[in-house]
Amino acid sequence: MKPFPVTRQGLLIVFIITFKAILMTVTPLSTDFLAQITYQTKFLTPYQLLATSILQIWYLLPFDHPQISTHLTLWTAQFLHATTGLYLLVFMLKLPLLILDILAGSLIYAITLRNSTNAKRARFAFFLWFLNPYVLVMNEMAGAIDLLPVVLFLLSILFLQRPKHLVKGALANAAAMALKLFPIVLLPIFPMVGGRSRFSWVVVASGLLGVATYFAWVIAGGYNPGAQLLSYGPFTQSFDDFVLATSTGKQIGVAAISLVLTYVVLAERWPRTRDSIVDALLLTLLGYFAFASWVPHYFVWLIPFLVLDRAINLRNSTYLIVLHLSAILIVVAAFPSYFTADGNAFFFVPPLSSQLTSAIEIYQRVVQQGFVTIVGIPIVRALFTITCILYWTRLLETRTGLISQLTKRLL
Amino acid sequence: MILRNLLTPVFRRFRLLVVLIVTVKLILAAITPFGYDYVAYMSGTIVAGTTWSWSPWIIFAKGAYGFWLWLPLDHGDFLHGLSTTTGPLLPSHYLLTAIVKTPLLLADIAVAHLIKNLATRLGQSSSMSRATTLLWLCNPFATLFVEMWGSVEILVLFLSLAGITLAIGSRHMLAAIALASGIALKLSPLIAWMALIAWMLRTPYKRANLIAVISAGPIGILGYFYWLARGQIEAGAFLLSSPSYSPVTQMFSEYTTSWVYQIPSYPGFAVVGVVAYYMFLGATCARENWSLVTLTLSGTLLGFGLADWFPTVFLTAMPLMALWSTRSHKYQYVLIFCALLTVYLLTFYDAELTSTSLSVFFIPMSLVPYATQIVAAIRTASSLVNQAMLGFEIRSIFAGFLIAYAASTTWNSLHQSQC
Repeated sequence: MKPFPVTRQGLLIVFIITFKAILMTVTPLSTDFLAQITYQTKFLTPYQLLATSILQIWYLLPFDHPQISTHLTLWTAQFLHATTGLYLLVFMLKLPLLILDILAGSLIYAITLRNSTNAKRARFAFFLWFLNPYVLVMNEMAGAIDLLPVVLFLLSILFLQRPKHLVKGALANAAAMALKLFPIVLLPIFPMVGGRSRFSWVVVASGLLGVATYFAWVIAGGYNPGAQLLSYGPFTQSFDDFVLATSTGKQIGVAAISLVLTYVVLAERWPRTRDSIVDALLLTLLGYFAFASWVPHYFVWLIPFLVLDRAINLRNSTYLIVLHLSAILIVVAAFPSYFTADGNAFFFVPPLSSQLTSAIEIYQRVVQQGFVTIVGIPIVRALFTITCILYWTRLLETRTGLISQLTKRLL
Repeated sequence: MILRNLLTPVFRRFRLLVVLIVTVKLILAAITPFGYDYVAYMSGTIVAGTTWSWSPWIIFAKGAYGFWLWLPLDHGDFLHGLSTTTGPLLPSHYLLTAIVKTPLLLADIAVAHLIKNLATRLGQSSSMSRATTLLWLCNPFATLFVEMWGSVEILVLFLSLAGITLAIGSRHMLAAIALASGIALKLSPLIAWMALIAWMLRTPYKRANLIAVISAGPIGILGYFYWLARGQIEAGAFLLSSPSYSPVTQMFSEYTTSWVYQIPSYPGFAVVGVVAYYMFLGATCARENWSLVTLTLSGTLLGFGLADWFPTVFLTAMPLMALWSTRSHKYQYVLIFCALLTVYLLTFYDAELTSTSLSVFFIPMSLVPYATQIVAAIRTASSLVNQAMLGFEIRSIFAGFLIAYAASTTWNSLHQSQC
């Protein structure tokens, strides 16, 4: 990987990092972030282990160390007259997330460079990721931990595209899956693209190892291994589909159906080259996201692949922009308690002034309007879904020519 | 000439194999008095005043039961024998089971014959048509559902397949009669009926034949609801999906969407999907005989994917799957289908398969070594899957696969017709 030249771009990166560092420090009031130091489980999750270690380092520093409240309301109250030490703790706890952000950008740069052999496009991809406001809000501000498995998964893709790094790629894949289960929906892609080769077997075996590890710590942590798949938790993995149901109560999930259809299309028609893996992964995620009910930070799984496709294949930016805008509207309108920490903050910022307090009230009042809940959210969600479907279709057509063949045969 | 052909070593091996398979099926039919459907309609036959009394199948079963009672045997209490693990099941009970299930076995053989006939008519070589027939006869699910479970769906399948074969042989009037009879027994051949109409519209046809085929649907539906009404069965059971399954009537429950505000009538995806599919393919499918098989198979799979059916109805797709697999030399879809159906049955129908811990796949526990352990393993596995809340995903994956299978069959049909 070529280093970035120390130019205006380098300065821009430093500026963005500084900006992100400041923002992440002044946004301590996120329920997901607080969970890292408050969640009571029998066994510390991998994320809590890290947070606990940072906390111990913080206690060693020569600052005042106010008592850390593990209750959301008290934690909120602490920031109304917070000391520098408390903000330093927030900075320290979120620093790994900022590092992950930079790592993700670097991996996107490397993958783009490998697949396009064009440094300009690779830099473009890096900045498309690093300047992404959605990533900033979810990663640095909300403090969601989903970027860690995303980074590991990107690392595995980078390695798996090079035959000599197969084992490293498989290990990164296993680690990603052991932290959050979402790459499991992408696991069937590798044998489909790789065929009956050592590559496929190794990746599938690593995936199964990751799944086993995930359930091992989930069970050790005292979670119900089945129930946690259906109910949201900041560290565990939940899957939620749009559901079709019979009058007798039998249900099927549309996202699962969409995934199976995508797998079949990939198995039947997709080119068997490792260069096509990135597109195949995006195709699968689009098929899933179109019909899945996701919480705000799950969209971060999709963003790297949108960026990669934009940069490598010079895809029209419309898809990327529409998906981001609709995702932002959906999450802002549908998850007010997420962005206000149950009415305690305005986009994770403590209500330090009367303007911020009234902003929280206005925000909550607006999103509770019938026009937003009954009309706005379904329309925007439909826009998101149809954009995913159109994107899916375009991607499939580009790689396989299936749609034009079908149209030709039918007409 | 025909006789000489039948005496060739290949045919002799084939016939020997068929005889062997049929013998195994007959034995399995006799030793499975706990067959889920069989128990249900025998209860309807033996207990007086049942609401199913007008079911064509119950009428037959009553005759068979009367014949069995007439035989000089120790009849015992058949229903009591089925209600307990310790109750005595006499040899005569196995005989009764064999007698009542014989028409099912005969229908199974008739379906095999129709498959061979259909394969030959569709231009497959004699070796391929034999392979297709064996694929049906050796299908473990066919044996499980027909001979062991005792599903009368095989009679419906026979009539439906006869309709397709006759239509391909240009005997449209007879095809219409066969389909109307099938629909009158159960409503599932409505899919084959729609496929036949869509196919006829793409091929040269006589107006009278088309009218006859179109009339088969309403006549069959009238026949079905006629005997339903005479048997005092709630006529709305089909539309509203009776929560309790009955082996002689049609259980059908579509997946629907929900609304922001509760609206009493939902659009059902199965009906919408299958009708739209036939309207679309009816205008574009190739003008050849294979298209009828493709349309019926794809429409059936699509209907299965978008509705909740009792598993025995999956039988209706299996002969067509056998035909498609041997033609396209692609067996992976059938294998995945079988694997998913196995998981589906063990997850959702463990109680039926073990007769709530009284049998192992309908065979009395006293006849099966390690029966208690096998039953415990089946029920525990199902319980674990449901506790892990994987039932929803299994159902979704199965539905998705069925839709993908339908799409793949349609695509291959279009592809081959272009070639």
